[in-house]
Amino acid sequence: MATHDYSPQEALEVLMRKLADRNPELAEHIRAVVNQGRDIQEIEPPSGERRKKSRVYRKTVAYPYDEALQVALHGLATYFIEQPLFIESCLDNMNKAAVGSLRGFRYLRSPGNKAAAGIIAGTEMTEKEVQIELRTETELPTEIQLSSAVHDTQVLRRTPVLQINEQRENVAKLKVLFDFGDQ
Amino acid sequence: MATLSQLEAAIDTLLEHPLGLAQYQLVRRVEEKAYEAYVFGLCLRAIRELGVTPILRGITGPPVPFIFRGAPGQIHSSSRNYGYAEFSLNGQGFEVHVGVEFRGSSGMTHELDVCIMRGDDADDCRQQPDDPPSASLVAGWECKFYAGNLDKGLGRSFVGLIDDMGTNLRVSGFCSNSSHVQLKDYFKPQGRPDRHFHMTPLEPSNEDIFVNQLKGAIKKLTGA
Repeated sequence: MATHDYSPQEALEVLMRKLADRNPELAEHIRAVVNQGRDIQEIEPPSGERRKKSRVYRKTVAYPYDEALQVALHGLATYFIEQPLFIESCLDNMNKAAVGSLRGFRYLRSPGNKAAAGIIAGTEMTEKEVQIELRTETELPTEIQLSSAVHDTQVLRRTPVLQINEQRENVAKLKVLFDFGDQ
Repeated sequence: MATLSQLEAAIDTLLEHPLGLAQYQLVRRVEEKAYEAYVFGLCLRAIRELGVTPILRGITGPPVPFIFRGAPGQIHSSSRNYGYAEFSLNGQGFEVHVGVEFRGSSGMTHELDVCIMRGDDADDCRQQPDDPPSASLVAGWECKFYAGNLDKGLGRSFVGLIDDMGTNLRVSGFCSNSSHVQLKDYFKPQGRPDRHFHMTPLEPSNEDIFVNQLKGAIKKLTGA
């Protein structure tokens, strides 16, 4: 008995249409992920006198629609759930490190001075400000570039756990709605 | 029975959530680098679990803020106060870097997404600006964030890179939140980099494997 009033193909079309309407770039990216296809093993049966044993070979094929749905959803989850978790994990681990002081900076490892270099007191187990460079050192100044100006760096910010959990539930809910395994 | 309107509502909820399309806009320019920063953090965790407190430093002074490179660069580059970490164990000093270029055995330079190198060599290359030699490298990882399956070519090029990094390298690995069926086999032979596929906070056991392997290698290297 059918448990959905839509087909896997219709579901994929709805997902891709909604994505394309709101963010064409992400839609194109997810389409490319789905279009990678998957590796399968084909078995060629024996063909009489010419080959007495069956032959196995690899082949890349398009995902069936129900699998393509799960692949697309997983692709979205990497951005919506994994990325915030990478940042959380990075900040957690960096917070447990200390920050080196100017006094202990650089060349204190010269012979006879192997003592631990100085650290700024109280920096261990404290939140650190972490940024990722956007405008790299080899990029030309923005005034002579065609593209619009961008910020120099992007600050890594924590995401409330509640939001991550909500989005995990949203993904789990869609996973069920995309599951056609019983049909 | 699940209806089309329920499906549409669920998709809308996913996309309109603060961690939906808005999140994508936020991370799309730093997605690769955020994954490298995550692996850098796991290295700090391994160091800490060896009973050592890693120290965050910057090229030109205390790293406040700590800046990860947006593109491969030289270890001595001071166009920004790029951050790195320093630690010592059993009298041996090491540094953890992200996106630094090394001089391979062939003379060609290669970028390592995340690496651990000898501290004295790193100092030398900052004092007398130069690319660090491959002999100074202790551990190196390629880090790839992928929304789909990994590209096979990434594995091939990393194996070629590691081949040019000499024999002092104790640990090399290919880290990704994703995987590829054929790359699993490709990394199997002895001497090839270890594969750390599906390494994400959603798979803590895979993080533990990475951290424990690194701890073991550092202990062996330093005799700690």
